[in-house]
Amino acid sequence: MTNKMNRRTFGGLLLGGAAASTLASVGAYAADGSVRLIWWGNPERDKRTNAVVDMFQKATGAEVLPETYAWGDYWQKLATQAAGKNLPDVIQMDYRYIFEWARRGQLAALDEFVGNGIDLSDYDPNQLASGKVDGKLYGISLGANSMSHVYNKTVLDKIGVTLPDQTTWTTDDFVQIGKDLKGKLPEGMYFTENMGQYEPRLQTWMRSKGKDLYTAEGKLAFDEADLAEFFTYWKMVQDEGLSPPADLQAQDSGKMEESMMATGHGLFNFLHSNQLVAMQKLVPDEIDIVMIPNNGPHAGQYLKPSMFFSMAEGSQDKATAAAFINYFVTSNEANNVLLIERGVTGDASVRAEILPKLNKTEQKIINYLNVVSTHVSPLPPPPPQNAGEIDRALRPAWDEVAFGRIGPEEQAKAFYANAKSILERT
Amino acid sequence: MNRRARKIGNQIFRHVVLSTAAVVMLFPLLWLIMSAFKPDSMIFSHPLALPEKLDFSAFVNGWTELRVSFTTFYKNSFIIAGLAVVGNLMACSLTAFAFARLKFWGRSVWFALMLGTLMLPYHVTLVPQYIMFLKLGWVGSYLPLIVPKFLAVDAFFIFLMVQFFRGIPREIDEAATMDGCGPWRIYWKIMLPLSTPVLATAAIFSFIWTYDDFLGPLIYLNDPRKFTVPLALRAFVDGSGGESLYGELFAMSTLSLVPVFIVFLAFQRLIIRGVALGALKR
Amino acid sequence: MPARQGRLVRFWRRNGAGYMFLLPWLIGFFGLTLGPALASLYLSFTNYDLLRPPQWTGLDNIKYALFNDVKLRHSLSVTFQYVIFGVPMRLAVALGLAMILDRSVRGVGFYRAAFYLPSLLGASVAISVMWRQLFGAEGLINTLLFLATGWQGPSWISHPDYALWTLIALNVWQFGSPMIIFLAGLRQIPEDLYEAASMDGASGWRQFRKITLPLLAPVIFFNLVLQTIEAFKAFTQAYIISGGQGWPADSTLFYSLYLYIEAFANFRMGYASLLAWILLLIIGAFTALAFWTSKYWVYYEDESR
Repeated sequence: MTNKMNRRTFGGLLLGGAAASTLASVGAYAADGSVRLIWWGNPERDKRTNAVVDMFQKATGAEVLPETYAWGDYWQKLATQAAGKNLPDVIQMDYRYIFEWARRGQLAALDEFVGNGIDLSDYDPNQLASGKVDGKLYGISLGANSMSHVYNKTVLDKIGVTLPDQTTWTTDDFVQIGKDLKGKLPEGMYFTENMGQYEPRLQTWMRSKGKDLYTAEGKLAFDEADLAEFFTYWKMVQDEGLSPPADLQAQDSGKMEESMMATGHGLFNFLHSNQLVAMQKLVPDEIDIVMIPNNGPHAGQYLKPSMFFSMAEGSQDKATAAAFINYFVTSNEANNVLLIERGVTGDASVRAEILPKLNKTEQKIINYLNVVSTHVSPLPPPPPQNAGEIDRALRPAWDEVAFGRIGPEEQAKAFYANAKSILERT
Repeated sequence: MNRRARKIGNQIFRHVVLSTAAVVMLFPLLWLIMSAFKPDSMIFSHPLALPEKLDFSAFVNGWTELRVSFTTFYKNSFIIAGLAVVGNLMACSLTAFAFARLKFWGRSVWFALMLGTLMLPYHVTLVPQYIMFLKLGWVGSYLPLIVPKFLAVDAFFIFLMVQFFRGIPREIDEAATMDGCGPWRIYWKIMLPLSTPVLATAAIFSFIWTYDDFLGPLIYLNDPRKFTVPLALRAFVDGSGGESLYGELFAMSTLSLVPVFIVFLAFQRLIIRGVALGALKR
Repeated sequence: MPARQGRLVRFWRRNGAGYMFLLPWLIGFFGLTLGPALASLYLSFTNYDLLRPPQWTGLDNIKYALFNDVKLRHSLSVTFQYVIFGVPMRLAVALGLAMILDRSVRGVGFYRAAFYLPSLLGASVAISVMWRQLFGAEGLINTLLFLATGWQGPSWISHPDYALWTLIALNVWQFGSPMIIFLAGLRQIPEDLYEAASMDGASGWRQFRKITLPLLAPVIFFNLVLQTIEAFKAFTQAYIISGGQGWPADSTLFYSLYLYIEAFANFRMGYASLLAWILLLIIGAFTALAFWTSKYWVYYEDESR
């Protein structure tokens, strides 16, 4: 469970000279093979993925039938298909779910294909390790990612404020900057969106204190007082007028268009680094990306796999599925289309190929991840089975605090008890 | 008071109420249509502004934005909705005829059970049905969306038809029975021709509801080339935080309304005649 | 044997035609409704995550639902509020406009279409975006309120005190199908009754009380039952507008939405089956209650009072 992705491995590979560019071998596919492929995404991702599907079909003669859904529909679709033993052969997976799906016997171990259909010789072993469950490889990471703060650079530059060193700034600095900016921000814009509702923000908070959300045994790895501190901090941010009033903040239902930043109500926003490109398209001003301020001596952030490709255990044509995954992950032609839309790939030669082709915003992500990779802690153990439910419970719990229905400490107590009982339920 | 003046006053009052209501009802739709003509950045920052120019690009782009064009989605939607109409009309009218006109052992029990299915939340049957269709090898095809209609699962239509059939004077089919007509001939030659309004009503609602259905196609269809219009519309908005195409979404949503609106406009008179409630009884 | 055969033949002669006509429905009823419903009743007593075979857990699910499930109680109360406030409002608007439409006015076709149009939309992504725009902090409603009163309203859609009401408003807005049924019912009230009442100098309100209401009672009852059932089952509106989670702060967590989340987000298919059956029982109880009370306020034409 110690998938360390530290500075040397990740950063080194990121910056290191290009390994000899290898032509992706297409592996032992059957020319009359046929596989189904499923992913969640958006029109832009769909376009790129479909283009790669076409290229693969042309190159090999095998058939790939693509299916795509929005995140909200995706897991229901997948669950019904699994219930009917009708899963697509190649499945896009999330780190949150890969353990559950692998342990429930739905995913195929990919080890037999490594070096035998899937060529991972240039692939960063640490990033690869994130797709391992109980020692076997169940998913190949499609890219690395980290949490971040993004901010409206145009506005901040105009006011003439420079941020402190992003690797060492603290949550106190963050609040202080916010207070200093009071009255200087454009009409309707608050210093930051309120992040008391975000599970990943809670996680960085805990990790910065040397704790985490969950232990390797699947228990809570923080205590009630830590949670109370977190809620109190974000309630203070709201009460100080640094973040929008509760009802305005609650208009954000998780879609980027509704975020405080995109609607012009927030200078700062929480984001996963690969989403910067999409966010920049929504905001006319220039936005930039920095690390999350610390509230303790430890590194709160980590590099995480953005998503995986996994294979269904019930796949009838694993060879073709493997060939497709191989093409998708290791070929230059495919990645020249995909670029870093799914995160920054762990394949060194592919990375060397695509780096020069990135635009300014995409470059910012690469630079950011380079900085982050020197200040990260190890990838946390996989979340336990009902972690998704706890994640979904956080937002309404925070809303109650934000709307003043319950005090931060009281809510910390209630939420902690609730989280514990959720973990105990089957 | 002058009767005539009062009548005119009444008329004016009605028009004021009706047109106010119509404006309230239609405003959100006008907003939707207006948004289709605006660039994405304008939709949310200037929600009330009129579009600066009639920009059809969202319609043009939206039509072909996805891997499969909307031509296919419309074709699929029409095939499914069309077959659903045929299935519902046939199966529901047969069933309704049995309940309204024929005498047989256990009729009232079956009738009560049929009405009982109206109360059934679809969540109850969702998963077992899916597994069953899968075992039949139907998942991925249109069969799970269409075959149930041929088995009269929609109790609302049966009920509507039973009510209408009961309103047709019994003397007509009694006379036909005297002339030696069997139930099949009575159903086919007498009942159905006399029941066009209710058949039209059932047809229109079947069409609209099947056309609008989202959950069924979501669960049973896998191949994007077989997707229906509502399923395709979902693809324009991404919940996971990517780039959404709202202009295209609004443009395609507006277009998706056109078929149902035409069907409704063309047949709305029939609908009201079809809902025969005179015989509304237990 | 012969006697038995004779009985069978007789049975067939008497009932055969009926059952032949009923055949498609019977297949559908057993195959698509009763069978799956019983299967889900079985699942109610199991632990079933869709990925592994169901495991029998006896009464565990029921115990949890009755004694431990806070969300169940909360979501029931949300749904009850939706039913109790939403259905009468929807019916009142539908009836009111149907009555005005029933009297011949010019352009009746246009109005009818305009009123029905929102119902054609169903519940789609576009509707949800639109509704969030209307009732947002800077939405149309607040803009108009500000122009009219100078008061800056809250974000209705995302405030726990009001969010449910925006969904009720959506339900009322889509009042098309009960309106159509009311229109059909109103058509069957003979015009001369009103004319006679007018001659006698009865006011509009009196005519409504004495003629329209009693004669329309069966139709109102029909609509009430149907709309109540629909409201209990309501899912899509809440799903698309509340971020699929019943936000803000569980204020729009409809029962069916909770059921859906348990089934497809938390993968508790067994427990969700139990929830579905509980919903069925509640709807059944409400329908029975409606039928029982109808004795006191619904009179059918051919019934003597």
